[in-house]
Amino acid sequence: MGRWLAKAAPGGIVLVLLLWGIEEAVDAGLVKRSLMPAPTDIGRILWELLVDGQVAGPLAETLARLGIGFAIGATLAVIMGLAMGYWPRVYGLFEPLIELLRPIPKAALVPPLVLFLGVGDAMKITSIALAVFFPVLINTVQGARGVDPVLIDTARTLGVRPLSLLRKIILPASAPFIFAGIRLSIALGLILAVISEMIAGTGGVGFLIIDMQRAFRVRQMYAWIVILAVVGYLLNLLILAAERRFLFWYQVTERT
Amino acid sequence: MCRRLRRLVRPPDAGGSLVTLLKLNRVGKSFGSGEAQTVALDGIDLELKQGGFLAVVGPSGCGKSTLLQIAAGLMRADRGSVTLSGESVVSPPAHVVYVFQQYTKSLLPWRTVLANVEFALEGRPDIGRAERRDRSRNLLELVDLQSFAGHYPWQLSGGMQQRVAIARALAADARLLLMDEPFSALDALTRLDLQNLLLDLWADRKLSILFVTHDVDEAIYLADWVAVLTHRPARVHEIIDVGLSRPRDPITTREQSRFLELRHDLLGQLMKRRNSHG
Amino acid sequence: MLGRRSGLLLIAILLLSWEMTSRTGLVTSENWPPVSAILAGLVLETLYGDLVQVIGATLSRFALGYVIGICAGAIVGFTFALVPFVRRMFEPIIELLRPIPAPALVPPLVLFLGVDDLMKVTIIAVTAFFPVAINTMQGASGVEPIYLAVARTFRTGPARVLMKIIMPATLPYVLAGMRISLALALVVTVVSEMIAGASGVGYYLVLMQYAVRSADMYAAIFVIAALGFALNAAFLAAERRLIFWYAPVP
Repeated sequence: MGRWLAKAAPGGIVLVLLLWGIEEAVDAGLVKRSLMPAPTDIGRILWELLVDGQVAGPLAETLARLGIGFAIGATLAVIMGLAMGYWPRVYGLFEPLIELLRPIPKAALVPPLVLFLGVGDAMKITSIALAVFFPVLINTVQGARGVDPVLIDTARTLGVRPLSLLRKIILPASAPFIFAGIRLSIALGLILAVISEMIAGTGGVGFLIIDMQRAFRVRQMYAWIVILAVVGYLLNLLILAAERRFLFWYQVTERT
Repeated sequence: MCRRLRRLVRPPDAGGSLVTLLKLNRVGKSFGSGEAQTVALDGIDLELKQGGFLAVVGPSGCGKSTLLQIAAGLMRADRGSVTLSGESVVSPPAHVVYVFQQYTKSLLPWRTVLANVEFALEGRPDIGRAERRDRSRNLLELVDLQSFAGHYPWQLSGGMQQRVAIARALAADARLLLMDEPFSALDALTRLDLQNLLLDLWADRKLSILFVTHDVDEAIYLADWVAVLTHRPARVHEIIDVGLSRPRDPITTREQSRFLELRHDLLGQLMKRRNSHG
Repeated sequence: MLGRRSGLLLIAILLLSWEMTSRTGLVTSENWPPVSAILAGLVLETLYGDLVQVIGATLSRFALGYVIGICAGAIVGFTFALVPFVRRMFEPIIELLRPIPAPALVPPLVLFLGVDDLMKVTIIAVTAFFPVAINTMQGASGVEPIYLAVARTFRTGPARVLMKIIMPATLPYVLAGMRISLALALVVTVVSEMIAGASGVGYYLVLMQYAVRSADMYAAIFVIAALGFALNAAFLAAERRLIFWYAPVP
């Protein structure tokens, strides 16, 4: 415990100093309150939001969109990725198309989606699903193609049918790659959730951030940014925990 | 009639001239702490005379590499001392070069073969760029790699890579070479080639060599003296005077009866101790 | 390769059906212009319009922010790896800032820096910073110990160890980080132009959306994709030349 404290201390001290410095600068009038409110003010608003339960609504909205979009995008991507990884014909059929669509920043797809689907949830969920789809797909394909042929041949000699093979061998064997793709796609999905809410929103964390900025309610804006950062961080932890649970068997060769 | 092997029971010492170059005195080294602590080396006494060739053999994992790294100044001993010409060794001394077992990884992959040899000469303000290049080229000639100067390490075979490492060691004006199983990962024929190359260089440049190997044949073939280490915690079990004539020949020396007796004896010792350790 | 041909065929069929459904009126919608119209518009805008300037504006912002970001990232990455104390001091702050999605940083930066280029370049630089910093730090701390042992054997001084061993050995990692930063920085450039822009491809895109000029809107998307593709290809070519010697551990 003592050693951990010694290691974490310098960073913690710098952090505290930084916050305290900002606080003092704002109090002394060096920084305009309209630009950068005192950290304690932000903290107070944050606390109020939490206690009032006002956090719940917008957060739930954003997370719901993210969740549904992620579920759709990731599921489709894994299915397609496994198919592409296992059957070379399928791979050849779709690979050029994927390579063509991949470089398009999914954020740039928001405007056409707005034209098609309006400014409601359908647009947001679709853009999130699109953002999630590609990283998961590419990583799944990479994982599926990299499965040790010996494993596959062993299964086939044991008479395992293709669909079972996909489910019981290739899927688990690709899991490390799929998880890497999921980690990346959650980050992208969150970005797209925020963007779509900013560009065409009526609710959710992204919308609130930009709304508060326009209304010059700066403390609220920062409070919501903090909430967003915490959410991003927690989601990452969640994925890491899931990884540890599902990938306990995987040993990455590390350089010592 | 059975020939008894004459083992010279002398204080730990290895032939060449009479001046002691490297001396390890009761060197000890442990790893880990508390309950998980393992003693790798337990009181190693070794002496290498100037111009001598001392081989160290022992079972795998007994700490031969550790011993060598301590002698090279790459690691510090927990107990005992290492002296080079009387001076204490605490960091890599000048004119002492450690030749790695993993020769591939010891060469910098972003440099050509020539540039890798030059590396040993860089940072010497007394040697200009042109001279550095010349010296390096000469050394590559010495190991018969002059036509590969512009190649990259990964384009060369294992044996060639190790030759580059040797050329590099010589470039640093090495007087003492500490070699850590340098040929163990090579195929048999390449190994014979490099063994002979090493002996030629050793005689030609009057080097002193401390050579760690698990290959008993190699040890006897190359060295003046063979030190046998025990299993961990390692100690010097004994030092054997090879006593074979020089220059050694890759075929006929290995057929001499003395060679075979030594081999018989050493292998017997190593295998016996292996079995008793399970 | 038989496989790839079927893929290219698929693309051709999709494009063709897009064109057909649009022209024959099968899908009547403002948002479904024929592909040919998009391409035609693209060519016209390039030749007679200000598409070149628009792209130029985006690229200049991108380049400036990207370069600043990767330089800062490399410096911080090396420093963190070589001076652990500095790392322990500042890593928590960086770890706190990292999970914040880039678009969420736009509004506060708008307050501080307004809506013009300074804000955009800043956010591009911040986005480009993180992957390079993290990768560089990992690479520099993970230099093959045997290279360092070789340097010690030949009694190389610390400055030369840094320049001749640590830096070349870390280069593959720095480049990997730069590649990630490239993609992210481009996206952020476009997004910042979309959210708070007055020029550039992102702004043009949103403008076309509002004006419901869908052909031009799709053209803008095409341009963005082409930019991403070209930058990536150029980067890979440069990378191959720089680290021809690198073979990653499988």
